[in-house]
Amino acid sequence: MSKRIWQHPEVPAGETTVSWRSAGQLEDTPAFREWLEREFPQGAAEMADASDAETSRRSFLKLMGASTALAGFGMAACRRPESYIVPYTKAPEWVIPGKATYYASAMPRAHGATPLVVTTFEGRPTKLAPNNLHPDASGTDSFAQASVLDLYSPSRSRKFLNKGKAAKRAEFETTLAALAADKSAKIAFLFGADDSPTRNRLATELASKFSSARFYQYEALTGESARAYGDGAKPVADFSKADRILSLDCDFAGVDPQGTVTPFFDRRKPEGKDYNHQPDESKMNRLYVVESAYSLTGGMADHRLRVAPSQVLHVAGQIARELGISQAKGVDVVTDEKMLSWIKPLTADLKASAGKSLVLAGSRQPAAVHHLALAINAALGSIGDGKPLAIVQTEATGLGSLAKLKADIDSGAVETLVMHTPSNPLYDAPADLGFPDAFAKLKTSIHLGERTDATAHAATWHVPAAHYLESWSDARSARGAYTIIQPMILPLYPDCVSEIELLLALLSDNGRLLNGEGGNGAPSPAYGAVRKTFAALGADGEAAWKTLLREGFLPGSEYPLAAGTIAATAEADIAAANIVAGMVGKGTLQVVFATDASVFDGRWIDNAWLQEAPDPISKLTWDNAALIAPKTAKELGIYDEIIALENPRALGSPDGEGENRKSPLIEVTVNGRSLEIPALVSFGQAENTIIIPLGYGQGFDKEDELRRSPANQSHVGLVGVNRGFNAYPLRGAATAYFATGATVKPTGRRYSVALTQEHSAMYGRALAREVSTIDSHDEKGGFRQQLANVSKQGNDSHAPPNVYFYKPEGSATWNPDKDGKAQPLINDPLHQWAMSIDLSACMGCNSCLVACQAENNIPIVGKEQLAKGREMHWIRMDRYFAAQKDNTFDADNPALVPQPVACLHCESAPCETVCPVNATVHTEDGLNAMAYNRCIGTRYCANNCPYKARRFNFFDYNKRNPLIKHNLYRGPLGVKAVGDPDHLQKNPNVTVRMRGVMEKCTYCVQRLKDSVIRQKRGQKQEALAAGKPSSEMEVTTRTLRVPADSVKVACQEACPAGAITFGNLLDKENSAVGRSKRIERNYDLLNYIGTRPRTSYLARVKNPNPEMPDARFIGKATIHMV
Amino acid sequence: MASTTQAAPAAHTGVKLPVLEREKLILNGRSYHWITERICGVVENKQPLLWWLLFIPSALIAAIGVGGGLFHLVSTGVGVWGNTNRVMWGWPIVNFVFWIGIGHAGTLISAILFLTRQNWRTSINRAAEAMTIFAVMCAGIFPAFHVGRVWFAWFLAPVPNANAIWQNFKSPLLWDVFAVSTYFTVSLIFWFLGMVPDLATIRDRAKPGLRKILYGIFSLGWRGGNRQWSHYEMAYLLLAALSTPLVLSVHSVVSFDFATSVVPGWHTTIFPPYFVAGAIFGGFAMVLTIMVPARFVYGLQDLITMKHIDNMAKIILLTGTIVGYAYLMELFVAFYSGAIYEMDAFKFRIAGPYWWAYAAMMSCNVLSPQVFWFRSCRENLWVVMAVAMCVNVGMWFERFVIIVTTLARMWLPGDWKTFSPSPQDQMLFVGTIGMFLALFMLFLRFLPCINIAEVKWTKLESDPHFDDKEHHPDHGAKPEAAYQKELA
Repeated sequence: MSKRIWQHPEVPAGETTVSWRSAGQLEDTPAFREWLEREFPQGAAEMADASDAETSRRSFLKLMGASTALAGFGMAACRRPESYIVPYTKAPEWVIPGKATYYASAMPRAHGATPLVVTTFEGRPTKLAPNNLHPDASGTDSFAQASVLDLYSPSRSRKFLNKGKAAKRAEFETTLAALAADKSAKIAFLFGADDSPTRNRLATELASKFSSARFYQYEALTGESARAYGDGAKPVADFSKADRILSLDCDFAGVDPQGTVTPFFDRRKPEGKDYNHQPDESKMNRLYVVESAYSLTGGMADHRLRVAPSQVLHVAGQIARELGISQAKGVDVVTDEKMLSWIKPLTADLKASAGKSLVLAGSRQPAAVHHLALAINAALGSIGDGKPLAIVQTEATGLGSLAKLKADIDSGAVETLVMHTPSNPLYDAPADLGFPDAFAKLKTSIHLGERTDATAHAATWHVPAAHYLESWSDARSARGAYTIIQPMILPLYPDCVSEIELLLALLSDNGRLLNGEGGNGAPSPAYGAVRKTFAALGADGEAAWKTLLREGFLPGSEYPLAAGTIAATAEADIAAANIVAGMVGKGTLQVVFATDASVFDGRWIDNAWLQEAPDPISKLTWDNAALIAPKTAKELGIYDEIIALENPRALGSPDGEGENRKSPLIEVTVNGRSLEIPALVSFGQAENTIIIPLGYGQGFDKEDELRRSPANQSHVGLVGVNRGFNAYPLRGAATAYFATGATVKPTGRRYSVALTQEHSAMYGRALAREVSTIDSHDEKGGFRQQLANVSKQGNDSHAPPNVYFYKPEGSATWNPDKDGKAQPLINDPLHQWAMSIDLSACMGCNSCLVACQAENNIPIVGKEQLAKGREMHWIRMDRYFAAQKDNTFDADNPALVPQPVACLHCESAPCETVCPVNATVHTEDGLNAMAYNRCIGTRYCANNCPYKARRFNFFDYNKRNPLIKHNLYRGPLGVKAVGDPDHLQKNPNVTVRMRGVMEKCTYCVQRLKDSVIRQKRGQKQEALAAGKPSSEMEVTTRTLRVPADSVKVACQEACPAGAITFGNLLDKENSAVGRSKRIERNYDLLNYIGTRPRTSYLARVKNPNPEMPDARFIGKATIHMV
Repeated sequence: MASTTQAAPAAHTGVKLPVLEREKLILNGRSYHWITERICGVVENKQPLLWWLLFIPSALIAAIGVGGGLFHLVSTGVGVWGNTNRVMWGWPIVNFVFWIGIGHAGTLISAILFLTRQNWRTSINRAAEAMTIFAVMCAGIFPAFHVGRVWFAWFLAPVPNANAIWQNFKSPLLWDVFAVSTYFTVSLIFWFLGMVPDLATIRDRAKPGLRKILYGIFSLGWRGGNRQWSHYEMAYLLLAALSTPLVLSVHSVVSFDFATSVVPGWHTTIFPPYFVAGAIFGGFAMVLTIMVPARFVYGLQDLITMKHIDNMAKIILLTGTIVGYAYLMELFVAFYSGAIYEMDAFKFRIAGPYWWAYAAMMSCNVLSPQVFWFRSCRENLWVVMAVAMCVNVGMWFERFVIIVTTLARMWLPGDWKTFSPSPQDQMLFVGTIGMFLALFMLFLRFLPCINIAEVKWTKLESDPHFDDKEHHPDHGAKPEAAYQKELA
């Protein structure tokens, strides 16, 4: 809107206006003058006639003000920053500035695409949510949530590289044209493990065009499961049908998905998915986990056995033996009494639930374990239609491995390589494979990737890849549903090419590379290719296509089932693996090369959200570290004493706390190669086992803390540089998952580590509560009694009832007292928002944390700031270990309970009373609101918040790039991040907070308000439809209230476990949140203080097998507190 | 010290007991003239070398620490300090409470001791009040600048605004704003009003020139007439009465910042009296810290006598013991509450990561003043200075223990993280010490550091009945005034 200019009436020409305040002034007699001087000595000058005007007080002030302003003081610095908003000259249809548009798409993943609904604002994708229409919808993990940031990553590749040097597109196009013309080229293609029907179709066409074309598949962290299930076949679990689940080192809830995981979590809730029925433990599933170190899945386990990685085979073999499986005879017998006492009742339980029990082997386990798992599943009758496990046949068949590719290059069968794998073979291929040497022999290598990583620099040509949110493609979800990938935006950088576009260019006769907008406003050629694939699926026609685009998938397009027979090589593989495992002497150190929860295999090293999200188990950010059990750390001489879980003096780690925390650097030697890496004590981990997450240490510059010589700096961006330690060189082809015979020696040096949580124990406080479904004949009683006592655990059992002096009990309208007379504290009769977090389902995976970051424009703060304790995450993912001193089975295997804590929106909020400027206040609909504009930043609210849920913006984290060393401390002289592309990701409906203000969870107030407005607008629509004036329309609670369970907050939406329930308490039993508040597991965190939080927790229920030797220690994380 | 015995008056008919003579507040029978000369001399003469040696470095430290520190802070963000999302209040608030506590002794001396007619106050009240003003100025820097957006600090003032948002009168922090600003205003007026007659003295002694004009302006036309004196004394009395509740209220309100919160370790009803006692305790230690050296430098031993020091040492002993009682009572209440959070809060204070701070607090505040039970210690100025320094340190640690230790270990172990001060934290604190010293040096240089008029009242000759043997038969012989000696 243009500024209105006031038009004053003009003074008629030739006329002089005279104004006066009294007759005396008008006449200006000497008598008046005298009187004026006497009565108003100070005002005399001002009242005098116009000839004195120059020297009047007013004009003096005017002059002073003007000169101050001219001198550059005063208001000169207070002007708002100038920014330019360019309106659409031609408005695109459907685009309303500030209003989101949603599209179905998917993120291609090796284990099956993640179906998504993408939120876009004015064509900018800003937020991803799961597509819940999709049969394989399973929430979104933190990787999927964070992938939107990659689109805007400042370090994203955007130019062609020729042998690591910037090159012109035209040069590449020449190469490409030559290649497309040479039909006899010895060309090979290296793909990732994601399955794309269009790519598969194009591969077939490529094979027919190039007579000697070969196809390979590579992802750094894949195992040997194909040997067990057959080429292109994979197991997919249906957790809704599994009553008993055994995980053989399979983190199916975390980084090793085996199919849609949400049904698993639904069955962790004794009251059912939406709390619809009475608690029934028989409907719960039971999870057994055998693993070396805590994984997210292990944390959910009802029974968990910690074993060295080599022993997983033995345990699997023993179970198979007990089930009478012939292949198990090649495996050494387990002789350890304790392990046997654990395995026997487990096997019995699996057998008792035959057909409903499921055994999953970690995908990176050796083939032998997969053979055994398949045999066990077959023996249990668990495979097939309607059974917990399906072996499906994907289209990705006949693809060679990296070793095969290497051999083919060496033999000269491959001279040109076109690669688009999300992995980075020059960095992450097994060290003893010698892939870099082979790679150098290639005549031409074309690398298509989003990052200029090691492979991009080594390749003859690096082509910047379009992000999946910029490209047309398609994918298969876990069970194979055909899923569309549609672009939300044209490639941000004109040179970015999608995989399909590159393949199409090679297929074309002239080899012309058409990418992005295919020219003259035509869509990308990939669009046509995808439509062609879709038509081939038998669902042609405009209507079917439009349905596909709207819903994101094609119903009934799942993978066919594979035979699922036990491979002929099984016995040989098992015997071979048994020899390897058997060679491990007692006490020898074993190393597990783990998948990292932040960078996966290293591909997300430049994703700041993931780097800053704490590791779910170790709580480490921005780095990796070698995780070692406390006893082993002591034995290795890393620490002088065994690090206890809970220090009675709460002194914390001997490595210090916060910014002072420095971990000892150790040198791990395995496979003849060594690595210096900081050690971190990890509880619940098998002894003599070292866990080293992979994917770090990709590039260093001179700012590195350890002064490692600058190397590969160009391989990473500002986020990934100097981050962590590269463990890939320790890994051999034969020891891709774990290696034995490691040695460790302390170096005496230290390295600073940044942890979000320093203390892992609950220190006798019943914070994250746990109950067990069985009666272990102690004072806790049976399941019902434990449920009834959930709200009385810990200090709450003897806290006096809250007495309110001036607030009636039963405050809010949703909970009136017996007479129904209670005056509501909060008055909105339509909406009273509330949340419950089910610890029984929550595994602590960070998905909510990253989703919140994406939705609410939460900045990252960098390693140094995070170490100090200044992270901005609105959700703090607390993770507690609870050890039981009397645990006779395995005292060093503490229970793990995660507890996400965000603002709990207390009805009687301690933060609100203490804010001196009323910047944090309660809304009528029950939110604890934060008025950023009013906040001056006294931080009193945060001190008084018992949950420490508030975050203070200590620096302009949104404006100043925290990743440049010392940048934050340079204030206005620092480098500003404004203008970096990641600012395009910001949600326009959420304020980008400046420094000096407090911020915290708002219950996604922007979504709530949007839903309320939409509901009201619906009123209007109804009136329009009825053809009546709106004044005649009936307005009721029903018409104005947002329908039950229809609005979702970002964390809830993302949660793969369905652990977060949000809604309107006034919907009572009609809403899931209303039901969840009424069940016995519901308790208020720190109820003792009487804050009446709107977010409550549901106690975790463990469903142990009473026959197991450790059964009575299960579900008692908080038992010793009462 | 007060040891001379006198015979009981002849008129007395009962058992004749020896009567202890009051210790003289001004020694060596110094005359009015001498007092004027000596006190005005501090202002009028050249400053000793020591003054320059103290003033220049402290002014520099103040300029760099406070000026530079605040510039960096405001231009960059509160993050330059060590505060974190766990310990939201760190050194800044520790220092605020520390400085504001120091001020209390000044007000106590000038107001409460005035109302209770403690004449010994007259020798030290001016300097103690100056100390109050400067300490509150130092204190005010911290809360004003610790806020995230200092340019919006005016939101704390009840200024009507377009958004119709008023302050939150439930917040102790707002009470704090009013309490501290009232305290500062009243203290300043009280200090200045009490100085008017003395400023006039300096004006009268000054040669014509800028000096005369400036002192003339600030002496507000004081002529020393009867009418002026009577108004003056009434005003002074009223201000003293106004200031008296402030002695108790300010630190009580400061303690409410903590006591009204839900934080275990803060949420205790003992805080207000304990904070006030602590403030007086710390304040007297600071008065001693400054006055003991100053009396030597300016030769004021006859005005600030060992009796003054003795009295202050006794107050330190008393208040230190009260503070010690409060520490122990806190522990008992935490134990008796049966609440794990309360008990842990104190357990972590004593034995947690900041045990050294707790140990420093206990030994400096509770143990070190106990030496004042012994007169020899109260008379030994080295001991007195050592204890005063200990108390200064101990009181700083008390605030550190209360604020930092508590916040680093609150309700949920998941958020526990210790705090480390940043160099900027230390710089600003040292800067305020420099500022305090520099201001005090300027005070000594330009203003009468002892209340000339009031000190004279304490002389026997000032008593209207000084020569009246009938009504004041106590003094066996007719005393002779010093001025009479001088005249003779």
